[in-house]
Amino acid sequence: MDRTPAQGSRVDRGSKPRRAASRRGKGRGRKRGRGAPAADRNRSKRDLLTHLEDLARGQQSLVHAEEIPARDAVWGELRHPLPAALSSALSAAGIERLYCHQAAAVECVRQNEHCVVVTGTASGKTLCYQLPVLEAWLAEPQATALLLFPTKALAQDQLRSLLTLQEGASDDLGFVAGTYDGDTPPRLRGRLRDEAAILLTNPDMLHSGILPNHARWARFFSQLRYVVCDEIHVYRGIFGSNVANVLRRLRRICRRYGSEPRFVASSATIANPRELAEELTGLPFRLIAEDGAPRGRKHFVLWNPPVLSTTTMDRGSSNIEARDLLASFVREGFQTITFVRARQVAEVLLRYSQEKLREDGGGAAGRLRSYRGGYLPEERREIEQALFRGELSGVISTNALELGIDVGSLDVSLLVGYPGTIASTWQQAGRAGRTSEDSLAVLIAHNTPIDQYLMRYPEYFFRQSPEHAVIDPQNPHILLGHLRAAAYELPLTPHDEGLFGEYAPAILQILQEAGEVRGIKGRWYFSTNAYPAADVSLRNASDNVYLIVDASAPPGGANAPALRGGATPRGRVIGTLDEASAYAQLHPQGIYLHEGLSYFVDHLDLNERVAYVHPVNLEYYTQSISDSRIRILETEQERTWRVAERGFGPLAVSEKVYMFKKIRFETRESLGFGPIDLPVETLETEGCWVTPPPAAMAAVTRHGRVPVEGLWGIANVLGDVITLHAMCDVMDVGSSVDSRGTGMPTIFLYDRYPGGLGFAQKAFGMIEVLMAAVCELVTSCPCEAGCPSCVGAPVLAQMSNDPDSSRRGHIPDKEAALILLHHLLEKEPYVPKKAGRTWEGRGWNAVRSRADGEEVFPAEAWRTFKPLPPEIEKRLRRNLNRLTERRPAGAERRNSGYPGGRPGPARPWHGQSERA
Amino acid sequence: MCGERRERGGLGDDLLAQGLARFLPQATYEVSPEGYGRLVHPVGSSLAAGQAAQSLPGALLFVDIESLGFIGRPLFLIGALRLPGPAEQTGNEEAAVLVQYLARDYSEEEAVLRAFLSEGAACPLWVTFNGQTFDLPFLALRASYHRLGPPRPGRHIDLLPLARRRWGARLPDCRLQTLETHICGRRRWGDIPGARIPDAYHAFVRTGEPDEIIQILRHNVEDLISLGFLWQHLEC
Repeated sequence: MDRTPAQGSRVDRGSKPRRAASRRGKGRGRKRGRGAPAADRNRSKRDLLTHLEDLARGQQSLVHAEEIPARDAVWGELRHPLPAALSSALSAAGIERLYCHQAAAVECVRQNEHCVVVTGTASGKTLCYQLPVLEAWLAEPQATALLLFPTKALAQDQLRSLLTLQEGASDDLGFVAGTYDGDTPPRLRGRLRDEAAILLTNPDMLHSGILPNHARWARFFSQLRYVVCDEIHVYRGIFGSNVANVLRRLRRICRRYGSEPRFVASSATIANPRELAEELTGLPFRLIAEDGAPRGRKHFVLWNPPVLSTTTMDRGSSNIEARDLLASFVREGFQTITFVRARQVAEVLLRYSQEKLREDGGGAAGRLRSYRGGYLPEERREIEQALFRGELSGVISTNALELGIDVGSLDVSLLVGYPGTIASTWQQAGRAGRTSEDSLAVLIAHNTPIDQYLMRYPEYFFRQSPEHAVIDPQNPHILLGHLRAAAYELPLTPHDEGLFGEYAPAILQILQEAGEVRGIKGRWYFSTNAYPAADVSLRNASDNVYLIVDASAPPGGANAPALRGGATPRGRVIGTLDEASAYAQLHPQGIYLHEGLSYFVDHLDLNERVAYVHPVNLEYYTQSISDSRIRILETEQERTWRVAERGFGPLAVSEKVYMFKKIRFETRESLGFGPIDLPVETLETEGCWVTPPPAAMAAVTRHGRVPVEGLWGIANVLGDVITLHAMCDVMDVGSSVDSRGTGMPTIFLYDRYPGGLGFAQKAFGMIEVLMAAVCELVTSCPCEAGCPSCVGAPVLAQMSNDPDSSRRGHIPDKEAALILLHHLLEKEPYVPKKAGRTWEGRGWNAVRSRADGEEVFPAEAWRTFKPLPPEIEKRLRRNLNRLTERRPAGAERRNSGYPGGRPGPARPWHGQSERA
Repeated sequence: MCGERRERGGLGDDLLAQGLARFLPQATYEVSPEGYGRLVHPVGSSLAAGQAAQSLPGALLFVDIESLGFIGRPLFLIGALRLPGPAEQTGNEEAAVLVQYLARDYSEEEAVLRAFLSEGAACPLWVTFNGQTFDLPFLALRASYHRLGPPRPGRHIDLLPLARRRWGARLPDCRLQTLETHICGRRRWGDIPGARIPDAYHAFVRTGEPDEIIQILRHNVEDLISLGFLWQHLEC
């Protein structure tokens, strides 16, 4: 028995109690030892809202309170009882009966149907898949199950949950389970291949590590009964379309080995969970949405920091508000989770809150931690456990804790700033919520247009249905990569067209002409020496990671991560950071904040991907400022559209971090500036653009308005509208306004993926339809002067790194947008209802983030034609050339032409969720 | 469109047959009825005679495979050198034979495996070089992939660990070609580098151009012959 979780990975067989104190079922009522003083714990949770109202007295911060009523448990019955071993394990976890959704899931799977479970946070979704998987294993000990999670951390957490169940069983529940990912030591890998009954992994590993080597997994695949896909709402847009193809490849491999697994999926609340599950897998699903878990009453409060100046509408810092609320809840003994939108904010807020609590005395400061991506796995585990056991009274987290990692249910959830989507907001708010007691969620507004809009119109949030998840597995650009990978795994047959869609033959033809596959006797064989899975990254973000090394401390233990070249770093590794954030936060002379401590960055080594830092005690932190711009690399197509010019071609969207500010803690006064000399990060992609004629701009100016504000509005809406026509997620396209390439302010729309995926190309061809839709959408919006649902909100580029989030700006000018749209569409001139408002200077080249809210375009409509449109075919061929050219025969597989040899796109653009 | 296309039984096979006739004139080449290319090479008497001195009960089968890369990828060539046991040695020259099973394209792998496994099963002892970690697991995976029974030699001897123990200390490395030069005193010319083999095979399937596949066939023959001599050296 291997009991050394070297990198947190484990193989366990019939292990016995290790954590006897925490037998539990996720989301069930449970007894726990808590670290907080007993007197505090006895406080009635009814006090929560009263407490908040007291805090709000006199400053009108509490702008809206919504009550979500309590709900009793709804139990379900199974037609046949669970096997004894399983029911004893449940009893040990304190579970005697199943909620209706759990019972429904078990029955559904027993009837051999695929099901997707959509219930609230902490409603016991985990059991919905654990029970069927273990029931199958008990009936058939050689049966296997594959559990897919979007993050490694989640897989680790779910392994622990499985092992807890195993420990609790009276009979032998001796299945072998383990996580198989980049962190799994080689010696464990072989063992899991040969022995695992339950394998927990992520789609990326399945794609690049397991499927291409399926021959070694013959035992596992031939016995595969269940595939569990957890948190499928994460799989949307490009990522989702890629995962859908990975799952099709998985089904093909299973067919080869004679198995036909059932799929059990779970999702957070989105508008179309069943449709998403069906599109991801290509199989029919049953939806289980009746949530039987009991829930205490919940108050959802919108909180606006006080107005400091009525003329500028300047408001108090949302971080200071968060600090005060957090400190006061912690003091009262309410366990509180605080969600912030950036990593640095988590650190700054931790520091502020600890200071505040120290002033009060009582030692609560030590029971407050921060949690975010970039902490070492052991550190994260420790925080999760401490939170779960109630030893921590508060945690400040990025969305790294938003996915289903079990930290127990807390009393209060503070959201600092609108998380960007309705689904995310509910997910984060759901972290607070006990089965019988009251809980509280507070959304603290930033002084940004979208947050302020929500404060003014709370119903916009509370009455709106959550977002749709859109994927398009048959996007030819995405399909190309997966057909290569599929051919490598097994020769493709005409039968596979059912899996990969009608474009598959046309794409195979292109691959054959490029010498990548060869059709022989009706089968298509992969016919080069490449490893095609390595050419496809499932996520549209680089996965390069920088190590942060405290050079003043002695090197860490044997488990310390090695440098890129394999060498041991000189010093102690304190954390990691993804490449996108490394430039902004680890530049030389920067201050890197970790667990509330400050570190001075001495050196950033781009080759070895390591930053050397040393601890300092300074009164300031730093904030980097970046500039982004769009360069047209080539105008491939140029046409007039009505009165405007439009173009299409390859673009370079680049971002350069060029200087940093020193900012004093608390007062936020600027203490000086410094230059940053780091390479420009460039995303080479393709895009289309529309340049309105000077007459259109003049029409706007005539009404005392600023044309660029209208252009921004149009760009924002265009980015939303394209998702309806090109089957992509709002994350997959970027839109912007820039004038450097064309000499005139121009609206750009581009694919956020190296080389492009055809979204912007589609937009170029249907600009008339798109612009008409934009005009329709803006015109029909009942708002008066623009809102997040129509013209949206730009976010200044440098603000994404700003921990104090003192964002300014306002919603783009709806009236200016309408004047422009009417001119562009050659409609009757639009006459604005009101006079123009004052112009507050804003860069034209800011990159914006969008408020989501798209609709689904019927999939059928897109799939009606078989041959590839000529221009798509042209781009496919070009991208394929890029792929094969950058591969020197046999040797190094990935050598992009990017600076620093990095093949992925430059940065995860704004709004990208942080990966745990 | 791709101009270079090889038709089954057409130009490509003719090219291969012509090339073989020119560069491997002693070998006989035929397309087996099961649908794969089968080459039979005569074996020099020194190898066969050397074997006569041994006191092994049955025939020996030296095995070497050529593949498209690491374990799990398809294989396209199996070379098998069969040396008869003493009992068969009585004047029967035919018993020593080197057979190569060649997949002329990706689709013929199954036929190649099937033929090799059924013929090879008759030999009680298989000898390989690094077969313990490479050739045998490779064959087993591909056999399982095609739903064939696994290779079951009565006994298997891997010469690599033996050679390492015997000569490892005094040779720069223990690659087969190093041993062949220093121990067997053999030397080969114009050999194809191992790393080039997968690409060369892909090119052959694409174009039917036989030059490089013939190099691979010769490379495989040389390996097997060296294996035979190495066996004698180790036995002595």
